[in-house]
Amino acid sequence: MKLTSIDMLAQRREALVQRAAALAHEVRVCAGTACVAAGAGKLSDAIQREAAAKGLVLAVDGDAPDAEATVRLVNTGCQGLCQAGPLVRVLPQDAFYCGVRPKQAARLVSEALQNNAVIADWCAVSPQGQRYATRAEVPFYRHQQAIALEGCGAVAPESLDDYIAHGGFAALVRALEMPPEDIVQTVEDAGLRGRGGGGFSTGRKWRIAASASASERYVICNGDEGDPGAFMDCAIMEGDPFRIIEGMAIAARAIGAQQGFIYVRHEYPKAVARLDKTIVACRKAGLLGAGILGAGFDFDVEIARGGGAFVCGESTALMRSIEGQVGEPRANYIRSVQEGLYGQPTVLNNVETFACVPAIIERGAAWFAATGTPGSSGTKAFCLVGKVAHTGLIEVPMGTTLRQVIFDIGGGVLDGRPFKAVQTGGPSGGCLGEAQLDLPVDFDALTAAGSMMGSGGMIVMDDRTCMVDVAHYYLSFLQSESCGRCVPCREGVAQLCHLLDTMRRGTAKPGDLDRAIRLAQDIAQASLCSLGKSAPNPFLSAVTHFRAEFEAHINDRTCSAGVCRDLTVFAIDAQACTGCGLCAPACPADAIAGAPKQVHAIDAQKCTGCGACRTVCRDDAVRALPRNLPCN
Amino acid sequence: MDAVPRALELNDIVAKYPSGEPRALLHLLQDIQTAQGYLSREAIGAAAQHLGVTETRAFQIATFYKAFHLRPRGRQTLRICTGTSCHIRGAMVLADEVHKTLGAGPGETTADGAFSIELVNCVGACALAPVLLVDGEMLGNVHPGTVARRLKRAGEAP
Amino acid sequence: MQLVIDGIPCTAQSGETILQVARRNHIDIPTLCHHDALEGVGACRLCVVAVRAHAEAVDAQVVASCMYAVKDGLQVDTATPEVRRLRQTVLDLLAARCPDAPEIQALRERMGGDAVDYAPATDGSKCIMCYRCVRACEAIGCNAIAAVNRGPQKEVAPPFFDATQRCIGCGTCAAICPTGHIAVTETPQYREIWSQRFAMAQCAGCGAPFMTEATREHLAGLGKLKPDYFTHCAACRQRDAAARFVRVGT
Repeated sequence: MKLTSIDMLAQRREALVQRAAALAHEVRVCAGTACVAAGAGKLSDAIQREAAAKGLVLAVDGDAPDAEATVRLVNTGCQGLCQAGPLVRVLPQDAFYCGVRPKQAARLVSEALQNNAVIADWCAVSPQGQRYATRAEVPFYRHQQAIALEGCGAVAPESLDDYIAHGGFAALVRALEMPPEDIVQTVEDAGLRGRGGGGFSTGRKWRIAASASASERYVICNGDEGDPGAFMDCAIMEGDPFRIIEGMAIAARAIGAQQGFIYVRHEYPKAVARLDKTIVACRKAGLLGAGILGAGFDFDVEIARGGGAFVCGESTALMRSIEGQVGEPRANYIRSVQEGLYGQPTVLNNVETFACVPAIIERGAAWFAATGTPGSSGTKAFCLVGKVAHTGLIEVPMGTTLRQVIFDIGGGVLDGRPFKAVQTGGPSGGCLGEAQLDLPVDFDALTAAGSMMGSGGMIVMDDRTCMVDVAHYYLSFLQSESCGRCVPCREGVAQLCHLLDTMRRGTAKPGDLDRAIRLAQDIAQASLCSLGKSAPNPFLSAVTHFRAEFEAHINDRTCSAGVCRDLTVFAIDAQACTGCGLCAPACPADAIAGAPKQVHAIDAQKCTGCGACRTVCRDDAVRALPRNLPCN
Repeated sequence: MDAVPRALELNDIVAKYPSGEPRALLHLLQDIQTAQGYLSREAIGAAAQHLGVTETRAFQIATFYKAFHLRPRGRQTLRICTGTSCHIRGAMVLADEVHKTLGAGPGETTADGAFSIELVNCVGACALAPVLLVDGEMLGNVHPGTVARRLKRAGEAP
Repeated sequence: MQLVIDGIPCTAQSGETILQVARRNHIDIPTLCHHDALEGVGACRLCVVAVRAHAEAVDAQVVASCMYAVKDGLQVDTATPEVRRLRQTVLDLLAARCPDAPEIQALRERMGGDAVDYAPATDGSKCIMCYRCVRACEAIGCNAIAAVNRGPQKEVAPPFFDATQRCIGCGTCAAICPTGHIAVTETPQYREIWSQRFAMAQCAGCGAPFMTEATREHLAGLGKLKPDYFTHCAACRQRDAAARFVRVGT
């Protein structure tokens, strides 16, 4: 149904809100990546079957409910606590259930829905055994504040009706009723800074584009989220796609653009499909295309798919990719906001940045600026992953400390092991150690400490993570993602990676650490684009905070974390071993022998140092020892 | 993956795009690859001709973007995620084990044509690290000792 | 506009690069990928310099002088120890990539800095990925070769690493290559380059081979050159032109 006026949209919203109010319950089944892998799709089907069997009429996702419907079932985007899935949230009581299996659907329907009870043994539980009756009480959620992720995990992603019912496109209406300059001013006053990691003032970027003289202007959404360990943008694209369109439309109105692009990473086909449906639905409803809401505003959006190149997350490379060329960046001497796509002024912003825009326009700059820190207003989404107890997707006010994120929200280090480091900013970022845990997370504090906040990947590392291996990992990643145009990056990153590799293998020479540091500094200075310029960051920050570990690898050929396989063999501590037998089948080299309930032993000759035994051992009975290397 | 049905002829795929529009090159190549499993020399040439770009440019694009494969692939694609979370939870050990089990490593196809193996960048399922994907199916928390068993189960009908 | 390079005030026109202005003022900045006839790529980074926005600015930025357009008041330093070290690293890296390219070795020695020997990273070729050949081929209108693959695997090749109809065997790529990487074999009858054998056209005046038949066809197709360009070699054309001058004079 085409919404040909602002009034029509308001009426539609009114009708949808009333319709939703008539339903007694809403069941939100998380259909994020991890939950689906754990069986959420099958769970949703099972709930629908059980409801039908029990005579409970459901409305599913954004479908119009039948007259007898009393419950809405929504297959939502990521609800955040990824490793405890499949997640189910029941409203209005705000019950929050973890690990719900398809075969438990019958109980969910009869107890939680028909009997309106809370199923205690499915609720999240504290380390002391206390059950959390509502989601609001769960520490993982209690410390969070959702702005960019507000709709993710709540709305039915593919339903325009559901988005409207939740207040969607009210911000666009507001933007259409203000002078474009006021939109820019609002975003600037809000202090919104680029959430992709660059942190450039969004309002100022829009202002420069708006004032550049040109026949065409473009709005591009950067969905090329390439940092390994980051999936915030994926969650928003899959879980709340209409919000992105609304944010882009507001930007287009502000700068005078009529065409937008969403550049989606090749590895996110579900996001591409979903955004495609979203755009089609918007066009049909008159929310994209010519004469949006009858307000004399034309704007349309196209999807551009990436081809599997991390470098295309860099703005000039991304634009060349849209133009059908290889994704080779150009030297950033002319800003793309002035001469970008096809040489025209272009606003390129990250998915999360656009996701913040509707709320800012609706609730005002002061509201947004009241959260966060003076230099970094608002909130930031993070993917808290790695060796942390509660891995998942979160959003916190800027200024929350690393310690609060990792321990209060994340529940501390996995298996209670000692904290070692936290890596942020992906391959352009750095790592910080225990001494920096009380730093506030924002654009400036982490950078001052030699790291950077980045786009949101936050990787927690324990004592079984080797910083030399981590530095090598990032350089290896960048070596395969380098576009290859300039010498310092193409040749330099490969050489730096090689030096790190020799350190991992125990074949490094004295002086190699200083040679590596010098090379890293030169790569940072001389490279053509930001991929090369920031490539040395993970290595340089690791050396700053963990230099002794690098020296031990080079001089003593030891890896204290027990990760570098050429330097490590494993042995079983006879005092601690309980003979449970978990280690033997886990060993890919068949190096472990032992009778049931008897102490097991590892054949050092066969041991390849992979550490699988140590990972599965529940008694902390496996020790990493230095491998006897020849010519030691 | 929502995909163009595999049986479509090259011409049909190419014809979906307006002639003479260079900027559609990546999309067209992606569609061809989705349908045919890889990009043949013929396909790259046809795409180039239709869009009015040189074969030189089309080949350059096909080799720059890692999404494209220029050799025929196995019946199923096995992807090993090498995102940071997967890495520190043992992805490379997993890759070695896959290599041992299947007799082919990253970038290769098994001798029987069953699997093509790839190392891929982060797939966004970090909570389930380490992660393997068999075509679209995601296997989480895969330990090296269980690789053979889980691959066998994934290869079977759902 | 006015700018300062190494303490020397220079005048410049809008749109000029630092390199252009520097050379006009006899300030030497080494280059590899730069060529006056080709559009810049900023790939080798040998020409890097340090710039500050104005005299009081403290923060310097490292930029490629062949790509950076001059601005009024710009302060440029071409030979600080930091800049020289960056150039040394570029050459050290290229030397590891092409140990058999004497031109690179010579440049590296002339740099005369604190050199570092990196692990050999060579595939046996002398290509330094300066993009001169592909840019030249594009400028000529043939687009027969391009930089394929990505990262350290990047290399110059025709499509599918095979003979291509787009190549006319003109040899410009080989001539413009700084290290002699591109293999050309010539006899009076043919030239072999990029996996193809091209027949040579003979000069109507002296009979010497002077361009490939394919090049002749391509240039004739441009419609911009006089007919004797395609029938006579440069030496003969010069002799004929000189003879005409002499006749006119007498």
